[in-house]
Amino acid sequence: MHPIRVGQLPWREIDRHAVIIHTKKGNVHELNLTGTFLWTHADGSHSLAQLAGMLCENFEVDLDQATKDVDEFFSSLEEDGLILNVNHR
Amino acid sequence: MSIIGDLQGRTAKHRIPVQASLELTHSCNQRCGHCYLASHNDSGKGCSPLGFEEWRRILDELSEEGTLFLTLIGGEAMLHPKFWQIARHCVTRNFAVSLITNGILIDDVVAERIAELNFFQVTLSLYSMDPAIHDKMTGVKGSYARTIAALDQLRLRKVPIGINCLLTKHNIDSCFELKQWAKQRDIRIQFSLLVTTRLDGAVEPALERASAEQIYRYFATLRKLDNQIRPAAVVAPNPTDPDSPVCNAGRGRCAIDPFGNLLACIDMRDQIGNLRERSFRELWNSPKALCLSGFINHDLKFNPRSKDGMFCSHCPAMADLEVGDKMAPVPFLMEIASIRRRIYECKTTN
Repeated sequence: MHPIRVGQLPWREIDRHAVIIHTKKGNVHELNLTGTFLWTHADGSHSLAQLAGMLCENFEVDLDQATKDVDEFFSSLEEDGLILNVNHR
Repeated sequence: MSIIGDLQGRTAKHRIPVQASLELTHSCNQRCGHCYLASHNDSGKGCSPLGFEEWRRILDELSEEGTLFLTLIGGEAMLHPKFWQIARHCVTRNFAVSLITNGILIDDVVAERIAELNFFQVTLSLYSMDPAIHDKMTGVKGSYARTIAALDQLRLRKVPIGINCLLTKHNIDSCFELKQWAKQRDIRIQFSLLVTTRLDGAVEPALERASAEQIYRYFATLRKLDNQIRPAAVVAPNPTDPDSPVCNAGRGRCAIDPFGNLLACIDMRDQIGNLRERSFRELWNSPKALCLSGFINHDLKFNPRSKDGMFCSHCPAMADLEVGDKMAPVPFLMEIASIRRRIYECKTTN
């Protein structure tokens, strides 16, 4: 699965935190540093496994924890309607 | 504190222009007696208004500086010949786009186009449930019916909508009918008493202001209905802290007029510079911009911790227009503050 941000959602990285506006629901989401990293790389070109690897390279986290965090993170965002999980296979 | 409130505080502190008002045109298809614009067309200014390519470049620069919330305004913003292209580029660049409009151009076709753009908010100016009062205030016969029709078309398409209602001597006494009407339709409504003089200094709009008696009745009714009369709670400043900024102009927000002049806010017409000549980043970090963002409570020429001062939301722009000094008290604002304080004191002693 290759997560991709829902198109044309208003968002901006402000003070190193992604702020995302869900216009239809009127919700505002603010992500922490690792969440922002994952969000900015969710362009449909990286698999969940690759994103977990990238997380390990850039933050102090082991691969098992990173894999778990990435799965949970994108599941949560998909539930909120902010991410599409695109199956490239 | 909400995410938005926290965001506003942080962006103001670090001078990130998270919010920008884009005044696309001064052209307007209404002639409101309370309007602050000196003219209702874009001619006679020595240059043409910004075209689409110019706005596109500016929007790209704003995006790089962290701007997230855009408000498209006028005049009547939809009269800009490239309105749809500009709006589409705003959405493409992931801005949260709000439109403020009188709505009289919005029929079913236009409402459909608006819905497709997925705006964050569309706010319409509606002044009364009485068509005669609304039409009198806009100077256009039939404008009430067209604005109501626009609201219906947008609601049908589930476009997030709101109502702005400026309160003048004509409509303030009947404003709670409008409030009730909006509430029944789950439409957010915002009232404002702040009728300013014209940007060229002409006082005619100020003659439309509600009287002290009308304002007193308004706040007294508000107290009975909402029980929300309280000391001024402004976005960034803390009136008890002398080093707190007076307002968010030039800190967390900015504005751009139709000719590319960068402003600290839409009401403060001191030009920081022109975006046709210099980049947004360069102008935003210029000495002029820093100066216009540096007004703090300590500089106020009245005591913000006095009995009335605590209820006053000071506006440096309004003070500059009306009394020629950004930090001096504005008589109209102090009058409103005094009334609010009296109503608040009645509430807290009863």
